[in-house]
Parts: sequence; C-alpha cells; structure tokens
Amino acid sequence: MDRRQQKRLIAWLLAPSLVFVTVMGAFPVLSQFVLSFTEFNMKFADERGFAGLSNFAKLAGDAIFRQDLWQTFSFTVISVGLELTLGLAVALLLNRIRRGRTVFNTAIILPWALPTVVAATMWSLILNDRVGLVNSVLGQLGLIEDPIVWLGPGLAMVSCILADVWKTVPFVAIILLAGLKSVPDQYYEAAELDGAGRWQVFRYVTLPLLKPFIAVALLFRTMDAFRVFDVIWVLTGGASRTETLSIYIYKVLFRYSDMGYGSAMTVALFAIVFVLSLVLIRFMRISQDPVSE
Amino acid sequence: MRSSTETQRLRMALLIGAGALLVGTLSGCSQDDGLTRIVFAAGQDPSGATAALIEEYNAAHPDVEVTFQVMPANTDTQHDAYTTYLSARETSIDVYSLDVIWTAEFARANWIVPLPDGLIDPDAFLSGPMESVTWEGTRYAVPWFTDAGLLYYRIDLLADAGLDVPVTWDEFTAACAAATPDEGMGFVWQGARYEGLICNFLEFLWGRGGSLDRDHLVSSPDRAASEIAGTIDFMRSLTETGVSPASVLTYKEEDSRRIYTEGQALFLRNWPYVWSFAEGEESKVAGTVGIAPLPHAAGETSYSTIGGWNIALSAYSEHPDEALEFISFITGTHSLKKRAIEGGYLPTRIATYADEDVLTANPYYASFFEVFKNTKSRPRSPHYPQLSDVVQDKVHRALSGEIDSETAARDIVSELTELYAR
Repeated sequence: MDRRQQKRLIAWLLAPSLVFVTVMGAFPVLSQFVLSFTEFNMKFADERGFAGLSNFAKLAGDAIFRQDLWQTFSFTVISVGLELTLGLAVALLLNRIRRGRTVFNTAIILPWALPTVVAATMWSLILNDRVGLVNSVLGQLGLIEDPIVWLGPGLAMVSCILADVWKTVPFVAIILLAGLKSVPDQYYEAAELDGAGRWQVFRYVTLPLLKPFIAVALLFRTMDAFRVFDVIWVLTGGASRTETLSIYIYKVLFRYSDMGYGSAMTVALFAIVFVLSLVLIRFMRISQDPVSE
Repeated sequence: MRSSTETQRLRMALLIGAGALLVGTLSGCSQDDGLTRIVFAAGQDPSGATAALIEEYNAAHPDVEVTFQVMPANTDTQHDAYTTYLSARETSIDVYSLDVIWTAEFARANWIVPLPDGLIDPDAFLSGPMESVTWEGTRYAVPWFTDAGLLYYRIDLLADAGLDVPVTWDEFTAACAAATPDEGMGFVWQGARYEGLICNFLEFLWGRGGSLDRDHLVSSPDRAASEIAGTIDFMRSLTETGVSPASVLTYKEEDSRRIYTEGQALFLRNWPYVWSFAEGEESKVAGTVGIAPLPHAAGETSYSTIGGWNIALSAYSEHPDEALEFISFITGTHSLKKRAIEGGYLPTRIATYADEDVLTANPYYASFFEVFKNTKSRPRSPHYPQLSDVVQDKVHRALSGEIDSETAARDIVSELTELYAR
C-alpha cells in the first residue's frame, strides 16, 4: 500500500464520523442560528416568516432574560468558586492518604456518579422543611425553633448551590488529584532542601504546577454551570430567584413552542459561553509552562 | 491476528443483529388484515378501568382495533410530547385526551377539529367542563372527567370550638384563630410557583369578585388591577398572620395533603383525590373529614377552579369516523360510570351523580356535586402556557416579598392584555 492509497483509506475511514459530526453537531447549531432570524411558532406554523433582528431586539428589552442572566452568572461564580476551593482541599487530602486509598477514592467519586436528577431529588428531601434531615438535626440540637424553609424565598439559591457543589466537588477533586500525582517528587525534595515551609511549597511549587489542571476544571465547570438546568428544575422549578437561562429557554422553546425567539436566546447563550470559554482558555495558555514563570 | 472462527462468529453476530433490526422495522409497518387501527393517547389509569373499556369496545367492533397509548403522568410532559407530535403532523395517534386548559391552544393551532353537531348533548354535561371544550363558540372536545378545588375541614376541631363551617373569609380566619390544633397549622394550600398556584390564586380572586377574563381586563384595567392587588394582599396576610405557614410558598398538592392527613391542619384547599387518602388506612383524620365550597368575601360567591380532561379528535387522524365513534363510547354514560366506580374519576355527565351504583361506590359524590355546580375555567387563550407563567411568576414574587402587590397586579394586567391581543 503506497502513501496515496493509505491517505485515501484514512479519508474513507474518517468519512462516516465526519458526516455524523456534521449532521448531529454542525447542522443543529447552524439551523438554530437561521431560526433565530425567523418568526416561527410551532403552534402557528403557517405564520412563519423572516424576522430580521427583531428576536434579538426583543431579547435586549427582556427583563426576565436579564434577571435570569444575572442569576445564572451568580450561580456560576459562586458554585464554581466553592467547587474549586473544596475540590482542591479534597485532592490535597486524598494525595496524602497512604492507606485505604481505593476506599476513599471510591467514596469521594460517588456523588459525581449519581445522575443529577436523582441527587437533586435526594436533596429536595433532605432540605424539606418538615420532614427533611437538615431541619430535624438542627431542631434536635436546639439550634432552631421554627423549621427553616430551605427551598423557599430567600434561601432557594443557597440550597441550589449547595446541592450543585456537593455533586461536582468530586469531579474537580479527581482532576486536581491527577494533577498532583503528575508532580515529580524531586520538586518537593528540592524545595525542602532550600528550606521552604509547607505554605511556601504549596504556594510556589504545587499551585503553579497544578495551574493547567485547575484551568481545565475551571473551564469544564464554568461551561456546565452556565447551562445548569436539572438541579434547579428539581429543587425549585426556577422559583424564588433561581431561574437560570436554560430554564427560561426550555420554557420558551417547549412550553410556548416559540422556536424563533427561543433560538435567539440559545444563540445568545452560546455566544456568552463561547466568550467565557475563550477567556478561560487564554488563562490556560498563560499557565501552560509554569516552570518558566 | 484474530482467529478465523472468531471472525466467523463476529460476522454471524452482526448478521443476526441486522436481521433483528430489519424484522423490527417491518413489523412496525401496517398489516393488511382489514382492521382499522385507532390509537388513543391518555395518561395512565392505575385502576385498569380504561383498558377494560377499550377491550370491551374492541370485542364489540370486530373491524376496529383501538390501542391505548399510555402517556407520562406529568401534565407538562404530556403537553410537550403532544405539541411535538402534532407540530410534526403525526398521524399515528387519532384520539387525544387533553387537559382542560389546552383546548384554545390546540384548536387555534388546527391540531384538533371541531366536533360534529349532535355528537353529544351539551345539556347532559356539567357547565364548567362544557365551557372548557369550547373555543370561539365552537366545540372541540368532549368532557371526560372533572376536578375542582374544594375546602377540606376537620369536623371534630370545628365542633370542639363550637363553630359552623365558615362561609366567608372573615368567618374562616376567625375559625383558624379559634380551632387550629396545637403545634399545627390553620390552612394549607398550594403556593409553589407552578400550575397549582394559578388555580389557587383564581379561587381567591373570583371569591372577591375579580376576574382575569379578557373582556374584564380590557374594559376596566384599573379595577382589575386593584382586585388582583387586593387578592395578593389577602393571600400574603395568610402567611403573615400565621394562618398558613411560610413554607406554603413551596407546597404542591401532595405537600399540603400530607399535612392535612397527618392531622396537622384545620383546613386544606385541594382536589377531590384527597378524599380517598383522608379516609384511607394511613390517614390520622379518617372519620373527621368534611368537604365544603371554598370561602368567599362577604357579599360575593364562591367559585372553584376547574381541572380535568377532555377527549379530542386529531386533525391528522386517518380514520376520523371510526375515531369519533370511539370518542362517543369512551365519553358515554357507561364508560364514565365504570371509571367513576373503579377508578374514582369524577364524571362530567350530570346524570351520573344521581346514579345509584355510582353513589353506592362513592357516597361522597353528592357533596362534590354541590361544589361542581359553581366552577370556572382558567383563562382561555392559545397562549395559555405563557399566560399562566406570567400569573404564577408575578403572584409568587409578590407573595415572597420580592415585589409589591400593586406592581405585580399592574404587570399581570398589562402582560395578559398583550397576550390576549396576540
């Protein structure tokens, strides 16, 4: 088989997956883009027409969209921030464990392995104001007199973030643990020889070397958190200032069958996540070569 | 290198797999055996009465075969599945069971067709359900079973306090102050942000003489807004004075039902299904359960929000005549009786409430009937899902203290007026 033949074979072998990716990936994204410039409600299909930028003009003046964007942003910043901090702490602990490592690793990954809907339903029971575990423990300890309404006005977002953090800390921890394992022992030994204290080792050796891993975790978690739907849908249905963009988009697309406006919102969400990811990827590049810093 | 027998076995497995796929596809195609196939989509009936009725129908009609396509129990999931099927002009389902709030939407989209005159006698049905199948003067469906908001109370607690069943809201709050059980609650209802909230809200609003109807909002927007604001203020006062717990803003039907059947509430607003739970084995209030119409403001009338389901013919059915005949059967007296007796589905035909067999099986139907005489539909609009979300969202925000009741009321009036005009 000469080179050309080989190349042709490679092209043929790749063709099916290319077609698959085009049909399943590129086509829906493009058609969503086209739809965002049309007026199209599935219920009134015969009134379909070109809408120009009117969907985007409506978006700019949509107070619900603005509020949901802000809520999504707050959810993302707070939950990802907590997840990275706690995930790092867990990873550092796991890295120090010498005995029973398998048991701990398995235990820590469990929340991540649960389907989100199952985990969220569990939390909705734990946080239930009357029969929930949290209120009954707090009550037994004499810390509260009246039950706290965890999923009601005021605390709803806190509860959603709590459930999301519980679920995704393992993901961050496992990525960071892999990063910690990849740091050669010589670095630590060298630092110790130079008389670095614990904090200094962490600050000047561990953290810089871990940066690419932190960036990966940050990127994945930010993209995921910005599109959050299931945790909040199960816990509050979007009530009490917890509605996120994905929930609003779901309502417009599927409850109101408004494909035009819903697609415009999807395009906007896509653009926001895209820009966010670019920013984060830049951050990742900078830290690609930590030793030269 | 893979051994040759292994390759052979792999090839054989692939062949078998492909063959199975092919057979599966072919068997899905229609068979030419002269049978007319009708598919009926509806939510699950745990009692099995519906399936038995369909079997009975098929036995009596050898040339027709009706299949029962069971849909997910969740109403919104059913709605989204149906809108997806119908916007794709799906022909495989002939007869749909539709929530009472969907008629306008499905009719306006031309997904369901007007029913021929003479298919049913409108006077034989309860007026609330009959109102719900009508859109712009045309009947699009046949009422199948009904539901309406009721006030459940504790006979023993009211008797201990020497009180009558409250009729007005003033008597109601006075009764809560006097007869609420220790460590318990006065009144539980459904205040979470979901479809149940608009049902509860409308009952409070109607009972104070208000309305969300199109004509009312257009002709007197200021009056409508002040009625809405007054209603929200009253609902807020329930939680602020401790008549209802603060957590009522997270309650759906089952949350509030459990509190009542555990004996921790004096009053409950809920649907008729609660009766069999409240008088059931696990209930702590069995034998002390009373039902009454919901309270209203002095000088006004009590109205209950109507729920329930109707049966409609798909515009894309390939066998409309056979499908219509099946609709007549499944909404006929015989079917409604059987479903009432075996499944507890509240019939929509007035005569069923005087039927001896039905009353023997469900003696409490007589008191339900009193409530069912005064029911109203939720606003009828092809944009109902949006309309409902606006009301749910504004009312819930106002009850949570995020916005004041005047703002909520003004927003509801202006946004609903805009939706009605679309």
